[in-house]
Amino acid sequence: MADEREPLLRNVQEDDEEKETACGTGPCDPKGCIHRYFPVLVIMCFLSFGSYFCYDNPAALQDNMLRDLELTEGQFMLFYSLYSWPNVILCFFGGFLIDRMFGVRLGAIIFSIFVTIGQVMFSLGSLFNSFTLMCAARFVFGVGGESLAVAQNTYAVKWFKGRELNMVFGLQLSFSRVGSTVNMNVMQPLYSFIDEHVHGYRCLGIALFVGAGMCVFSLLCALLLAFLDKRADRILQRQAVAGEGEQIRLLDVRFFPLSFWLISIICVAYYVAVFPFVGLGLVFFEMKFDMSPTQANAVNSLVYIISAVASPVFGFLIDRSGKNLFWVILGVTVTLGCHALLAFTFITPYVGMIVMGLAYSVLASALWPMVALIIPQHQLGTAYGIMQAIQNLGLAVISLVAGLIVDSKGYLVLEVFFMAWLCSPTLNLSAKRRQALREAEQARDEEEKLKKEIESEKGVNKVF
Amino acid sequence: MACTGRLFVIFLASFSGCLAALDKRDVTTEFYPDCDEFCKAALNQSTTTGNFSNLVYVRAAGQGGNSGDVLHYVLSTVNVPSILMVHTEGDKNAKLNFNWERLLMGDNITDMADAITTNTTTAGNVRYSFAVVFTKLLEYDDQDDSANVNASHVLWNIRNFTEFQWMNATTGQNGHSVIFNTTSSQPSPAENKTSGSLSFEFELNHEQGRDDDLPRLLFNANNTQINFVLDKFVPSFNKSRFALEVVMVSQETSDSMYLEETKSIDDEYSPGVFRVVNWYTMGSHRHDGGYLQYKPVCYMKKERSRASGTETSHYALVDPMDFPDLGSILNISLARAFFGNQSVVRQSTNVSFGLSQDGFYVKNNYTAWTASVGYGAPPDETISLLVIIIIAAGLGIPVVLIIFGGIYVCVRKLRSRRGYRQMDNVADGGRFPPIN
Repeated sequence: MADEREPLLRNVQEDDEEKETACGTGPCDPKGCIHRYFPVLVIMCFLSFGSYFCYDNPAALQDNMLRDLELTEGQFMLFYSLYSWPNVILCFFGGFLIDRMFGVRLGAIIFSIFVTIGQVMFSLGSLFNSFTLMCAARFVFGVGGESLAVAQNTYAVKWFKGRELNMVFGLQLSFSRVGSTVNMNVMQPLYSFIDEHVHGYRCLGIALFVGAGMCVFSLLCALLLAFLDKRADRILQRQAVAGEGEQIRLLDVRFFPLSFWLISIICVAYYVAVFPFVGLGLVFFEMKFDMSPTQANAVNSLVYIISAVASPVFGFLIDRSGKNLFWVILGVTVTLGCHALLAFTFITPYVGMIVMGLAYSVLASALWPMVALIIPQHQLGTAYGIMQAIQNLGLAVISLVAGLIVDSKGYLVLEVFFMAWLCSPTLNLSAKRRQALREAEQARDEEEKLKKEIESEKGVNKVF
Repeated sequence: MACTGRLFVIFLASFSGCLAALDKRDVTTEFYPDCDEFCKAALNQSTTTGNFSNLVYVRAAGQGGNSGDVLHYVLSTVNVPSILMVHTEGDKNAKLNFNWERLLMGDNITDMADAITTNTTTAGNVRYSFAVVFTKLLEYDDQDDSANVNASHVLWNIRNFTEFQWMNATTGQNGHSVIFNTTSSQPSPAENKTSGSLSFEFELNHEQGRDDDLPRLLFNANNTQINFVLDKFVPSFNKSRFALEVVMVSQETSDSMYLEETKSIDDEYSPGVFRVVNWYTMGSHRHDGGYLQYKPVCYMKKERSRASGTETSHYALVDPMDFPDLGSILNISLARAFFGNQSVVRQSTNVSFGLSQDGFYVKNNYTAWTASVGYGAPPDETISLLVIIIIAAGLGIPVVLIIFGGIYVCVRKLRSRRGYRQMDNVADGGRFPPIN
C-alpha cells in the first residue's frame, strides 16, 4: 500500500509543512511516509497483541483449567468478570491519566507492564494452584488491558489522523482478532505438548507463561514505539500530546460535545447487539438450523474471522470515500437486517453471519475514528477511555440480561431485544443531531482534500 | 406471512381436535385393578423378591353430558414398561377388565392375549385403541462422537426391558403422577456399582395446561406426559450414549403411522428448542388417532435449563416384525394383552439421546427426556400474545418512528431547498440556477 502511494503522498504535518521532505527516504526517517507504516504501524499493531492473546487464555484452556485446578463453572467465569467489571470504570481513568499525567508513551508502557505482571501472576497462580492469586492476577491484567487499548487508539490518532485513520483502526481491530484466534489455536496443542513432560496445574502454569512471553513482546513494542514517537516528535518538532499546552481536567468531560456522547451510545448499542449474541449463538445455530456443533462453531466465529480480514480493507475504502456517518448508519441497518433474517427465517445462518461480519467491520472501522474528528487531541485519551468504559458497562450488563432473557423466553425474544438495541442508534441519529456530526465530517473531508492537493503539488514539484 | 399461515393451520387443528377430544375429564387412578387371588399371591412374592409387575389403571371420564366419553389408560411394567390407551364412547360405565392369571402368564398359560378386555358389549363402543411399548434400552460406545445410533459402533450393550426389575409404583407431584422405578439390582456389566436408576413417570392431566418443567410441553385432558430419567445409571463405556427403542401398536385401520418433525421460529416456552416431533398412529387422520409427541431435547442435569439441554435424534419408522426378538417382546407386552390376535398396525423407532460434543452420558451421568402420549389432536404451540406484543413494541415502534422521521426530514429538506431557490431567483434576477 505504501509503495502504491509513494509518488504522490508525503508525511505532511499540520503545523510544520516546511519541514517536510519527499517520501521514500527509508524506514528509519520519521520524515518519510514509509516510516509511518514500517516500523510504526507494525509495532502499533503488536502493542496489544499480548493482551488480546492472554485475555482468552482461559477460554482456550477451559476444560483443562476446570480439571487441573478443580474449578467450578462459576469460579471459571470469575476470571472474565474480574477483567470486565473493573474496566467499567478503570479504563476511563486510564484514558484520563494518559491525557493528564503520563502522556501516551509512558501510559502505553505502564499499562503494558500491568498486563505483563498480571499474566505472570496468573501463570504463577496456576503453577502453585492458588485460585486467589489467579483472581488477583486477572484484575491486574484487566487494569492494564483495556487502558492499553485506549493508549493504542490515541497513538493511532496521533500518527494517522487526517490520513489513513479508518484503515489503521480497521487494522488494529483485525490484529485484536488475530491475537485471540492465534491463542485459541495455539494454547491447546501447546498444553498437550507440555503435558508430555509435566502434568496437572503445573503444566497449565507453564503453558500460561508462554502467554506471559507474548505480553513481554508487547511490552517491548511499547518501549520501541515510545522511542520512535519521541524521536519523531524531536525531529518533526511535533507537540507532545500531553505535558505541554492545554491540559484536561476531569470535569472537562462535561463540555464534550453532544455528538461524542451520541457516538458512545451508538457504539454501545451496536456492540451489545453483536457480542452477547455471538456468546449465545452456538446453541441457537445447533438447534434452530440443525447444525452439528462443529458447523455451529464455524458459523458463530464468522463475525470474528471476517472482521479480521475485512476491517482494514473497509477502513482503507472509507478513508477514500469519507462519509463515516453514512457507513455507520449502513453498518447498523445491515446488522439489523441480519438479525431479522436469523430470527424470523430459516435461511442458512451463513448468510446472516457473513453479512453481519462485513457490517461489523464497516461500522468498527468507521465509528472509532469519528471521535478524533470532534474531540481535540489533548482530550482524546479521556474520550476513548470513556467510550471503552461505556462499552464495557454495556457489554457486561447486557450479557447478563441476554442470558436471563434467553433462559426464560428463548431466542426469538432475545433476537427482538437485540434488534430493539440496533434501532436505537438510528433513532438517535435524527436529523438535527446528525448535523453536528456531518459538519465535523465535512470539515475533515475538506481538510483532507486540501492536504492531498498540496501534497500532490509538492510531489509534482519534486519530480520536476 | 409464514406465521399467519401457521396460526391458521393451528386454529383448524385445534378446532377439529375438539370434535374427538374433550377439554376436561375426571381422573380416577387404581393400582392393581381387579386384583384377585393370583394377583395377591404374585404381589406377596414381589414383596420378597423386590420385583413388582406394576399395573395402574387410570380412567379419565368426560364431565356432565360427556360422561360416556371415557379414556382408559393402562400404565404398566408387566414384562416391559408400556402404556395402553383405549377410547370408549356411549357407555359411562365402560371400564377395562383385567385377568391377572393371563397377564402374569400363570402355569398353564402361554399367551397373554385377552388379559385386558372391555366390559362394553358392543365392539363399536371402542372408538380407538393403541399402545406404546418401550422395548429396549440401547447403549453404545460412541467412539466417533456421532451421536447417531444407526452409525456403526463396535461396542454395544443392549438391554431388553424384560431384564429389568421394578420397584412398587409410587406417586409423585401431589398424586398427579405415577412413577415406575427400577430396583438397584438391575443387570449391569459392573455388578458392584449399580446405584443408578431408570424410571418412567406418567403425569395424568384432567384439563389442559403447560408443564412447569422444561421443555414445558403443552398437555390436555386427552394425554399423559412421560418423563424418562436415567440417573447415575452405570455406563458400560467411556463414551456411552443411550437410546430408547419404542414401538407403537394401534388397532387396524386403513391408515399407516407417520413420524414428522415440524419447525417453528418461536422457542418461547422451551428456549433453544425450535422443533416438535409428532408420531401419529393415523398418518392421514392425525386428529383421530393416537400420537407420541416430544420436543427433540433431553437434559443432562436434574435442574433442567437451556445450558443442561442436549438434543435427541429421531429415526425412520420400521416394522418391528422384521426383527424376531422385537416380535417376541411385543408378544408379552400390554399390546398383546389387549389386542390379542386382532390385526394391528405396528411401527418401531429409536429415540437417541445426545448431540456430538456434549460430553456423552458420562459427563453428568444423567439424562431426562419428556414426551407425551395421547389421543386426538396433539397440542400445538402458537406464538404467544406476549411475544407478539414484544415484537410489536420492540421493533414496530422504532420502525414507525424511523419511517415518519425520514418522511419529516425529506419534507423539510424539500421545503428548505425550495426556499433557497426562491432567494437565488431574486438574487440572480429571475434566472433559474441548476438544482443539485
